[in-house]
Amino acid sequence: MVCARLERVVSHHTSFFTDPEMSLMMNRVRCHGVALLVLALGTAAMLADASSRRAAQGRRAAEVEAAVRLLGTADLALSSASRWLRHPSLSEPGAAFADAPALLDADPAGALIGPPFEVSGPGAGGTAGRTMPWRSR
Amino acid sequence: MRRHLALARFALGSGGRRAGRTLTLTLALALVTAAFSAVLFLTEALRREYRLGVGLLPDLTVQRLVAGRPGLIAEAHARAIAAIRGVTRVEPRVWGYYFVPALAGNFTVVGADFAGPSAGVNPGVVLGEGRLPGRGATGEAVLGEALAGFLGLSVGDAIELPVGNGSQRFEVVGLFRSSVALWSADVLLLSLEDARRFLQVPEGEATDLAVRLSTPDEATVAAGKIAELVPGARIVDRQLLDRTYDLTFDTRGGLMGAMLLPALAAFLVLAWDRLTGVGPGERREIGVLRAVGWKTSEILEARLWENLLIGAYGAGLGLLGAYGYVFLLGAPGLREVLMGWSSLYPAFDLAPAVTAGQVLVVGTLVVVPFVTLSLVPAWHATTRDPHGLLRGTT
Amino acid sequence: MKATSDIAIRALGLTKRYASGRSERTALREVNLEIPAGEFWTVNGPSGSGKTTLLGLLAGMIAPTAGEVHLGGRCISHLRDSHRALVRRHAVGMVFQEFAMIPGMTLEENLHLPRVPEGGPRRADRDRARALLDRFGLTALAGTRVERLSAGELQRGAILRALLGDAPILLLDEPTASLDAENVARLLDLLVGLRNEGRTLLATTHDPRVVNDPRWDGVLRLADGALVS
Repeated sequence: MVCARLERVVSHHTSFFTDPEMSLMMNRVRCHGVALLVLALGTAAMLADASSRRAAQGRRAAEVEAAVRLLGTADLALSSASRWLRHPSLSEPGAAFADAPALLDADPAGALIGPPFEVSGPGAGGTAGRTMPWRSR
Repeated sequence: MRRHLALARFALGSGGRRAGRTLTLTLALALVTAAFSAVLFLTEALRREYRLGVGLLPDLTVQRLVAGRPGLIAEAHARAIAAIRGVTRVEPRVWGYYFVPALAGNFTVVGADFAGPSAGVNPGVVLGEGRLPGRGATGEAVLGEALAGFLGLSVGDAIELPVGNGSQRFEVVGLFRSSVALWSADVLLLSLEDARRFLQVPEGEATDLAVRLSTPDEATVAAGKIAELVPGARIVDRQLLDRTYDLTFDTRGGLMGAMLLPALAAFLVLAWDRLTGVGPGERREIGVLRAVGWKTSEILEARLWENLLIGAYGAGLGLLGAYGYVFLLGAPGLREVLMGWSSLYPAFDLAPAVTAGQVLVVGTLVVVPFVTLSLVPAWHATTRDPHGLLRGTT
Repeated sequence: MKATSDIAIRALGLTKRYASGRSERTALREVNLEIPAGEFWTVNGPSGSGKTTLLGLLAGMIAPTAGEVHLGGRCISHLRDSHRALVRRHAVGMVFQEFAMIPGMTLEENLHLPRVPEGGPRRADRDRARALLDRFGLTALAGTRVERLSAGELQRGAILRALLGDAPILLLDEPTASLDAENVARLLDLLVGLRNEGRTLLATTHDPRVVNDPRWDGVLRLADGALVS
C-alpha cells in the first residue's frame, strides 16, 4: 500500500512507472533495496549495541582503577606462559626471543602478542628515537 | 538516473541467472570478512581494556638490566632519584612470577604496601569476596579468580607453596572480583614483606622503581638524569606503556590477521577463477550485449552493480556475523588461541570498541578489491571479438 | 525513402588481419563494395571465407585493420568503440547466426536488450514490439524463456529485435542456417517484404536454397577473404 502511494507520487515526475513492466522492474530493485536497508539497520543496531555496552562497562571504571592501583600494572592477564606474554609492557627487548632469535613463540598467544616495541618499533636499531627508553651504558 | 536503474535491474537479473556463483561468492566474502573482523574486534576490545588502566601507571618505571635481562634494583637508588627535580614520589616495587609445573606456566606475585600507597584502595570495589591483607599482617593472600579456581581455594582456605628449600604458608583472605579478572586472574597478592620472602628478593632491593613526576613533561629530563644515576638502568615512560598494546597487536599479531591472509588469498583466487573463467555463459552474455550495441562502459556498469551488491551483502553479513561471534558468543576458538597454552583463563566480558569508522574501513577493504577484481575480466571479455564470444570460441 | 542513387553500405579497401600466436591470418583482403539503399544483396561463399568478419566490420562490431566502412554516407570505421556501439543500436539491425539471445531471459526481455542502457523500453518501444510480435506470429511466446523456443521462432525473434530500433539497414548472418524448408521459405518472403518497405538488407549465406532465389538485387561472392566476381 505504501509502495502504491509511493509510485503514484513518483509517477507525477516520470511516466514510466505507470507501465506494468516497469513496476515489475521496480519490484526486484525494491526487494534488494529493502534487503540492503535491513543490513544497514543491522549495522546501525550493532554500533548502537557496542556503544551501550561500552557505557555499561564504563561503570566499572572504578573497579579497574582500584585493581590497577593495587597491582601496579595495567597489563592484561591474557597469557601466563612466559613473562613477556604476561607483561609485554615491561619485558626486556630480548624476551620474545629467549629461545632463539628468529623463532616464533611456541605458544599461540605469542602470535597475537608481539615482542616488545623496541625490537620492531622506532629505535630498534639502537639509536635514540623520540620515545626511546633510556638505557645507560 | 533511469539509465542506471535499468542497468542495475539488468545486473540483478544477471546475478539471479547465475545464482550459484552469486551465492558462493557472497558466502565466501562474508566468511573472509567475518574472520578478519573477528580478530580486529577482539584485539581492539582488548586494547581498550588495557587503556582503561594505563592512566594510573607511574610516569616512569626504572628497571635494571643484568646480562640483558631484568635484574633487581637497589632501593638506595630510589632515594637518589627522589632528589631529582620534578620527582614527587619513588616507590620500590616487589613483584614477579612463580612457576608452577602443574600449570606449565607462571602466576604473578604482587607485593603491595598496605601501609603506604595501597592503603587508599577500597577493598569493596576490587574484591568479590573477603578483604585485603591487614596492615602488618603476614601469611595472608588475595587470589585472582582463575588462580583460586585452579588451586581449588576459596576464602578461608590455606595453601603451602614451596619456596627455596622450604615453603611458605598463606591463608586466602580475599578473592578479586570477576569484573577485574582481565588484570587479576593469575595474581597472588601479598604484603610487601611476604612477597619479598616468597620471591626471594633481599632487603634493600626491589623488582623495579615506580617514579611519579609533578608533570609528565618532566619525563625526558628526569629520565636522562636517572640514566646517569643508575648504572644499567632501563627506563620505561608512560607514553611507551600507553602504546605497548598498540604495537603488540599491530605487529605480530596483526599476525592473526596475517594468518588470515592465506584465507583471503584463497578467496581471491576463487573469485578470480570464477570471474575470469568468466564462465562460458557469462562470456556469451557479454558477447550478446556487445553485439546488440551495448558500450563497454555500460557492460561494466552492469557488472559493477552486480558485484557491488555481492560485496555489500558479503561484507555486511560478515561484519554482523563477526560481531555476534565475538561479543554475543564470546569468540569460542579464537579466544583459546589468544589465551595460549596457559590454563588460567580470565573470564572476560569485553566491551566492543567497534566504531563506525572501523566498520567503514573493513567494508572498504573487502568490497573495493573484490569489485575491482571483478571488473577486470569483464573488461577483458569486452575487448574480444563478439562473434567469438557468441560462439564460445574466444 | 527509396532512392537508388543513395548508397546505403559502402566498403573501401576493407582489410582485417588477426594475429594468432606468431603468425597472422588475413580474414578479409581489400574488399570494396557498394550496396544501394532499398536493395537486398547476398554474400555467398564457403565457410571460412570471411563472411562473418565482413558483417562484423560493416556493423562496426570490429575495427578494420585497413580500409573504411560508410553507412548512409557516414564513415563509421574511424569512430570510437562506444560510438560504434551506438551505430549498432540505432543505425544497423544485426541478426546473428547464433541468434544472440540471453538464456534465462524471456523473448520480450531479449527484444528490449538494446534499450536497457538507455533506461529500458519506453511505451512507444513496447507498443512497436507488440505490433511486430503480432506480425511475426510470436505474441504467445513473448513471455517464454528463449531456451524453450525453436530455431525458427528464435530467428524471427532476432529479426524482430533488429527491426525494433527501426534501423534502415539490416545485416543478417546465415539467416537460414538452422531452419527447415518451410521456415526458410517463410523467412525469405519476410525478408523480401522488408526490402519492399525500403530497408537495405545484406545477408551472408552458403545455403543453396537462398543462393538460388531469384528475388535478390545483387550477389557478392567471397572466397578466401576476397571478393571474386
